[in-house]
Amino acid sequence: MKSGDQSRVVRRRVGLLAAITAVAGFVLSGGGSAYAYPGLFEDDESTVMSGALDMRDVSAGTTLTECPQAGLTGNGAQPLNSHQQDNAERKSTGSDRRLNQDFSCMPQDETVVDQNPKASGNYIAGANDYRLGWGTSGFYSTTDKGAHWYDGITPFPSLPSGQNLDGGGDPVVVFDRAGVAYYAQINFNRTDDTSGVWVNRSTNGGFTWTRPCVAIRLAAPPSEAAACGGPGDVRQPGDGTVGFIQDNDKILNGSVPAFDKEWITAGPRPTGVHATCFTPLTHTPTACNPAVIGSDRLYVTYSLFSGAGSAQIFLSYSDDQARSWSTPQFIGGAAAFCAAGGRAGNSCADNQGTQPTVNPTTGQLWVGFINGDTVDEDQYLVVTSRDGGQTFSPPSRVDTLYDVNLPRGVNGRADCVARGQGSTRAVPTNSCFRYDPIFNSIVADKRGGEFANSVYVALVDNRNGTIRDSNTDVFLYKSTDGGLTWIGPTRVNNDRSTTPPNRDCGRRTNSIGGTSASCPEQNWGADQFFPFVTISTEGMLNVTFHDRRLDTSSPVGSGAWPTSKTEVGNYLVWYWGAQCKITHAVTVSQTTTGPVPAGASECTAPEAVVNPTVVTGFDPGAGPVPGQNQNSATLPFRNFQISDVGSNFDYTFRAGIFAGDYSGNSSGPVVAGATGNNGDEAGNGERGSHDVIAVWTDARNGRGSGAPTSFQPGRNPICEQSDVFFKFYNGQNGGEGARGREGDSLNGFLVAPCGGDMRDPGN
Amino acid sequence: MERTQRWLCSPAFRGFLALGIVLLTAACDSGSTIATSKLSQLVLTEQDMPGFTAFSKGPQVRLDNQGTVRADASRYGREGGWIIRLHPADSTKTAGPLVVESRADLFKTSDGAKSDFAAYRVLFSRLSGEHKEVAISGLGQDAVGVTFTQPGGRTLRFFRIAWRSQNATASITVEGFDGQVSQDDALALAHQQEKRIEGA
Repeated sequence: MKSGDQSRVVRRRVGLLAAITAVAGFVLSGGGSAYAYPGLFEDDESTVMSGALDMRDVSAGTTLTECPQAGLTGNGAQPLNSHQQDNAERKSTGSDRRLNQDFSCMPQDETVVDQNPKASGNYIAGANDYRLGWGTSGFYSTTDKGAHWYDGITPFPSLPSGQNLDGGGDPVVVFDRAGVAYYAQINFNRTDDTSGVWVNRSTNGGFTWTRPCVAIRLAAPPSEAAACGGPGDVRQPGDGTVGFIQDNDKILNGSVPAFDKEWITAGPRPTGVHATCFTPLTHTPTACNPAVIGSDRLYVTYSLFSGAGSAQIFLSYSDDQARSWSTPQFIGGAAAFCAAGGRAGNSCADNQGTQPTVNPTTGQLWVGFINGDTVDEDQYLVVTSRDGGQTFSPPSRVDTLYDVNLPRGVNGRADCVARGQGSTRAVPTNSCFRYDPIFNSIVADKRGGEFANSVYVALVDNRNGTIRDSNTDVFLYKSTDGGLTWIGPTRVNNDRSTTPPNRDCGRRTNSIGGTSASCPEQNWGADQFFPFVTISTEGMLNVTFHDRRLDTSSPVGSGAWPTSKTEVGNYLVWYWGAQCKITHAVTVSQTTTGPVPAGASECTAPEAVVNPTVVTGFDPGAGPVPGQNQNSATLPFRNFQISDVGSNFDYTFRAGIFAGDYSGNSSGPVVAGATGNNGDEAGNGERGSHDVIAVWTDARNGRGSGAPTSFQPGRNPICEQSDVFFKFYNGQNGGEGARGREGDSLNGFLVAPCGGDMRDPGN
Repeated sequence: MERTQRWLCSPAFRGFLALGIVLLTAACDSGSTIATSKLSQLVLTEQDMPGFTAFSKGPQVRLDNQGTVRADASRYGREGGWIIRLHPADSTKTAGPLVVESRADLFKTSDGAKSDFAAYRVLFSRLSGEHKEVAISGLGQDAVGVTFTQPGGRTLRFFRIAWRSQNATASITVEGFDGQVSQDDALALAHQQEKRIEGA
């Protein structure tokens, strides 16, 4: 999300002139035998839209064939599989279980999950689900703690035109304290710029969902008379509609702003804040129907990509179970550290990846997000509200997010561009799936008292890697004074992670462009990515993430795409967890940097500091920064393997270029002392009160597109797919240890061609 | 003889000559335009490349030009684009092209295609690392090509060739291990695609 000090429009104009100049120079010179122009456009479009939007015009497939179904258990109807199980499918017999129950052979990714506080065996998960042949939002529900799952696609929102908006994605699920479930998502037209943010509601544990509606105006303003549909439509006008913009020219050309990357949370209204409801058209406060006032206030945050190229972030809240929503409020704020954005009043207005979190004891709300109003590196900011989202603090800066030195097409990964990846999208070494750190994670402590002002942030970045060799790590920051002072970074993953002497080698100054050939080849460590942090009612921090540490030997030139496999190991992907318990909180509040006070050092690395940003300044350059060279042996988080086998992300969507923008999430226990059903079909033993569920995207059922084959224009190769998997683990003493190791996965998943009996011969 | 020489060297003759060349070029350029309905026929197919399988084909999507000077789908009166990506059916193959991309774009006029071809030149000039131009002849009305390497455990070699043919632009990207893929491989594929364009 690198951004310069000019608006995108200005940058484009400058870019156009530069392009003309460059063309003229190139033509007049006859073309040099060797040439290099300074980067001019590399930063354009680097504010990363979600994959659901970025790939909205990509066809997913036609679902004509069968495919491996590893991990699917239960007593549901089973197909007449005629394909022969291959080595990979036979190896996928561990304790990981599949959530999605479909047999479409299409991808699912971007996973989330939440546990019902009123029914501890009730969990609902969500994911981007392509079973229909395009991106929609899938739900997966269980009431017996994962022994059985029911799944489907959430109902599409209805529009005033009578149409249903059938493109969807960016799923998030949350329960309120009364056990009502909410599913937030973006929906959009795949062929034009119409988009919005909606929330479906379920009162039966996620088996039945409401259909949101955009209110139809029935009379001229100022009348608020409106309806959802025709006669007999009982829905409240505007039910579930957080925001909506209709395209103005019916062409997919960015002519109107686009909604993106929403997130939802629920929490009690702070003391003194009363339930407020809103009219459907102008969002004017109005009296609430007491029968539908929710136990909690719902908060939805989202990005709105404007024509100027930046994405502003907004918040709306609802007190009537998502039926009506407050007027969207810009929450990015302004600060001196956003001055480089060049906006009036130093507005922080180039943002993405918001995530709200509420302390369930006090009702205080925090929202974390990535911001690009910087000279060079991006930054992670947090705002907070103590009055239920009506007013917000100015942003506080957690730390620099070292993401501009990630490998990309524009700095040397031409192999990924050739496979169809966007040229500015970040990709890890050896693979081509996008993994820009759009989404990081923030969680408020659930306890009151001394913990009432404690907030935790998990970030992922490449401060320990280069544009040639990625080595993304997960870092934890904590604040005990309500988000003003941040302590960290603490590396969460405790595997080997060495620090390059110059992390910016090969990268051009203030640009994501560069030349990886200028950087020495070195494996600095394995990649961790897509982190998510939760905290139990007893203070146990559970961080989950994808991890490639167990692959130490996959050869160069191997795998599904030999030309992309340039480094030994660091290729197959497992799902991992990390734990550390917060037992006390000491308020640390200062504007200067320095060592962490002894009483506040819980779950912090010995090398962590107070206010790491103050050490480095806002434009750190390539020199040493906190978070580098942390001793793996003294890191406080205990790490453990969650998934059984290593998954090959080259077998995810479209030649392995998309596996979601976030993946994996964990939840529970949300009620202290709650007990679930005993045992499970995976043989994991009796389920206890400390169980945490983890869900993640996994491509173990994906296969290469094989040959010979001929398929319909635009379709996804028939054997590429990813599924949603889950596992319970002990939230206090995490993990069940490694079950499948590197060798098993290398033999089964390094190369897994599509079986001849699974291919569609085409025409 | 002298008079003839003087005439041939005179500014007037050179003016006529220049005008003639311009008119000739214009005549060549103003021939029949390629119809949008032919778009899918303007790129390579699996039949053109025995032993290869397509892993992506269809209308170009936004991601195919994301972050480049050709990102605007409505640039220069563009009417549409098509793309196919292929790789060897045998994933253990290491010699020759290992990933091939073939694409074509159609414009309302040849002027639009000329502008797009100019954008190709800019695009090639911005590619990461050090590039070397490769000589291209006999391919459409304008053509440009570059080659570059990508470092790694095994160095990769890329060839990218773009050209203009009437109201169309086309390009080929060929990727393989350095020393195992040649400019001739790329040129042969480009000419094969151009035959398709000429036949459309």
